[in-house]
Amino acid sequence: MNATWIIARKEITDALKNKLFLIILGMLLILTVVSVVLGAYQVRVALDNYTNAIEFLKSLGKTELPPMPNLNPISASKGFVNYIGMLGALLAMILGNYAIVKERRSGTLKLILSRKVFRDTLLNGKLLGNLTLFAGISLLAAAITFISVGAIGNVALSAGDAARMGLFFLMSFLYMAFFLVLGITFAVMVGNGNKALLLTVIMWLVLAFVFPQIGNTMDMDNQLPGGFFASMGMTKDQQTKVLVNFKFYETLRDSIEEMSPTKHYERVSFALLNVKPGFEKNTPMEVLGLKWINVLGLTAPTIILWLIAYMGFLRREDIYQT
Amino acid sequence: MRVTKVIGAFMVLGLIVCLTPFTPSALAAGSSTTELSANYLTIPGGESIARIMVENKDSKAHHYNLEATGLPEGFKAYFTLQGKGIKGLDLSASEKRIAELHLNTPLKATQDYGLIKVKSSRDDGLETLMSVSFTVNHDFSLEITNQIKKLETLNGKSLSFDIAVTNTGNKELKDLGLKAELPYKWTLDKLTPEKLSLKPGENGAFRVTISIPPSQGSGNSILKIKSFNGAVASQEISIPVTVTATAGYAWWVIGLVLVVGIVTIIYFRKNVRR
Amino acid sequence: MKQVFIIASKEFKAAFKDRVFLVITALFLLLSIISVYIGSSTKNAEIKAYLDIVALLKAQGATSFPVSPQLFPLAILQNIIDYVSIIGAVLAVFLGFDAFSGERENGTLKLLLVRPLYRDQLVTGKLLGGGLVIGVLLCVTLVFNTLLFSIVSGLTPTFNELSRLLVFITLAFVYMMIFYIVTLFVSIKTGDRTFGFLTMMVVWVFVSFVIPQLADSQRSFAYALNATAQTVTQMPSDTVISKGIEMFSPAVQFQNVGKDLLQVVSETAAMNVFDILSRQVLSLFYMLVPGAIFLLASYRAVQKEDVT
Repeated sequence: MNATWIIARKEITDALKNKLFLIILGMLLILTVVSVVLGAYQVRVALDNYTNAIEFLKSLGKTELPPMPNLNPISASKGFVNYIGMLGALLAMILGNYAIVKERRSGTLKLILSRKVFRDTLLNGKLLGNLTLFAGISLLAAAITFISVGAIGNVALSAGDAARMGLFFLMSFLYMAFFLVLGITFAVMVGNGNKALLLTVIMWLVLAFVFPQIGNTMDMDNQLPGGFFASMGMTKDQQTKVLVNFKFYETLRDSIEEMSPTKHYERVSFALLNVKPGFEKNTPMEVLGLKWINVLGLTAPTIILWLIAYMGFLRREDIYQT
Repeated sequence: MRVTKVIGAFMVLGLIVCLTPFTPSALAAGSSTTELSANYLTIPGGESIARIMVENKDSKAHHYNLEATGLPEGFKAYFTLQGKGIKGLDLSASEKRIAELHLNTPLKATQDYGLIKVKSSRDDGLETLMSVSFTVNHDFSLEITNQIKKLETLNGKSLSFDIAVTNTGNKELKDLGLKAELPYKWTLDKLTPEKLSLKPGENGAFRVTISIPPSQGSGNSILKIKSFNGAVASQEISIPVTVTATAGYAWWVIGLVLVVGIVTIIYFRKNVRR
Repeated sequence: MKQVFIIASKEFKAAFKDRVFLVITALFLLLSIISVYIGSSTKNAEIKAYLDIVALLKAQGATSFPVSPQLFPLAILQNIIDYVSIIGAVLAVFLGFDAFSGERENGTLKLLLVRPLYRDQLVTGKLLGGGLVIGVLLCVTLVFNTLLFSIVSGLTPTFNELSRLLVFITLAFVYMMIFYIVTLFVSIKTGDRTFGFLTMMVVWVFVSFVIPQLADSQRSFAYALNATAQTVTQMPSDTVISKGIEMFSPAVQFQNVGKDLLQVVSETAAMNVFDILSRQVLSLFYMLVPGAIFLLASYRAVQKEDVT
């Protein structure tokens, strides 16, 4: 356990000396603030529009009013999930790759393994160090968000909202952990560090862009501006009758989306941040309860990849090459 | 400048209610108040429309605010102009336009007869009042009587529930159907019976079967349901539905994790930890 | 001039020997094929759905039917716009990230520069080589997709459609070249190729996602009120801020022009190519400016390269 900690501590100090890591981290934090500022501005505009619309509807005697736009400045911008998802993922892949590659390049891997350190202990240490780092980043981003929401957006977060935000950052942490492990696993399995990094990036492209994109393409209603059915002037009844014929198509589309951790991250985050309507009345824990499958879809691939990294590292001999 | 003001003061606003919705006529133009002789028939939970002509007899453009006052409890009224909701309207000199007054009657109206006043106030303070009377017709009235608080289901499955309707009017209701507004991609599989006829005071029930697509993520959705026939429609009820994702995918994932875990253990046994 | 061609042909050959590059190329081709196939079958499904609706209405005794949906054939290819702007850009980065720093790290740069070769020729050669690879790739995509499109949809493209497609592919070429040029610049400027690659990935994330999303968050959502249906819908519309932010993303500009060219926007679907290009001249300008700047910067930077 002691060895694990020493390696973990070394990882953290190394990362904090890494120029690229610091640059991306800086960008991520700046973007966090920018998106809150822009979100707050947008909320003000949206709120004015909404108040007008509501007054009008009330004057019509309508009792069923459209839902209030999200007052929470962070969720006003759907992009927030993506900044964290994207730059965070990039950051995680870089650190994951460096964790192994730097030791191999400098020949220190040989040194470490010649001591009384088990190979899995080394991996554990690397993982622990980097996870601590990402936990720190998540906390920092959360803190910045909370502060700027209060200072710039002038919105006091309720306890429930704060808990939702906290859970969202936890999900972001899990998402980054996946890409960290992906980076480590590829670095362990592929001898050439550069190639490993490129392959990790390709994998990221496939999981984060290609699969969701295919799912999008296959959604019939997405393919015409304004929606296919609306353009046909169809009533709901008619829509339903037509939709019955497309069940298989739907299942296929759905299975492709299920393979992407990005999609799972997006689903659970959108529910937590109220970007997707329908979860406003749930408590934060109820949202997680409803979305547990997405949380599973986010964590299970990480565990599987990690076990593969264990096995791959155990029998690698080219570790001794400098 | 002063001259026009003086002339303006003598010009009167015309506010006319037209008896039949399709033939607006200039009844009693020029008088400041028009008593409506004809009566509007409404049904509980229904809406009736009165066409109102607003005329600007001034030589200047004016803005007119419209307001319905004296509404009995539960009644609601609003104005529209060419299908768009308005609170007032702008008229250029000598222009006249027809606005529509929509009167919504509650399901359980406290009174069966009533008189409401439509007030138009011009931007220079000139006010005109006009009365509209209505009678609530209890011959046709329909109510959805059961109260489903909440439904729960799994995605990819179908869901059945009953909707009870009661004829609360004085006449028989024939060929009642059910209209369900479903979330995107949900389908209405079956409705038994398709049509229902109810005598006064009689209850009936529809059995509704809907199916939820497998791609529906877990979450809360709302079904909106109302019953109707050619003469009458019930109020719309909203039923919240909570969809939980089927665990099928989860079992696969958990299974895979276990398999890889076991393989790892075996691998480590065979190859000795080092 | 001969030297330039030698360098270009070396670049070209090296690219197709690089396995990682081949993987991402295969991914790009595969995706564009899948997207055409899915696009075509979705359109077919829509036509089937339309026929189903008409049949349903007939059965219900209706006499008037909704108009057949306007399906523009090129719109089947619309997903390629996304793939070029996302995967295409990454492909250009993969192609160019070690074009210069690779030579430097392997020590071949020194060897090259002691020969009778001007430094600008080296850059021109690299650009030509990269351009050749991207060009070949896009031509293959074009031919493949036109064929697949004809087979699946059973349509032969008209002259207007074909010219739109050609202009689109040219535009895609220019877009990918911009990424290649910027990557080349970064490759000249940075010592470490991995660092250069990752820097480009950050640029890519910003251009393709962060900037468009920031712009999107600044679109105003006007509430459109429909009094007859008594519903309120949100209509996104551009604001000065969103337009201003978008200016900095060639990806957005590429997508704007691309959507017009591939008949995604119904208003411009019937126009001829020249009208579309003159309509979008500002977008084209915004897209080309960063490319031009980095092109000049690359030529300048390579003059300062210290080979000792």
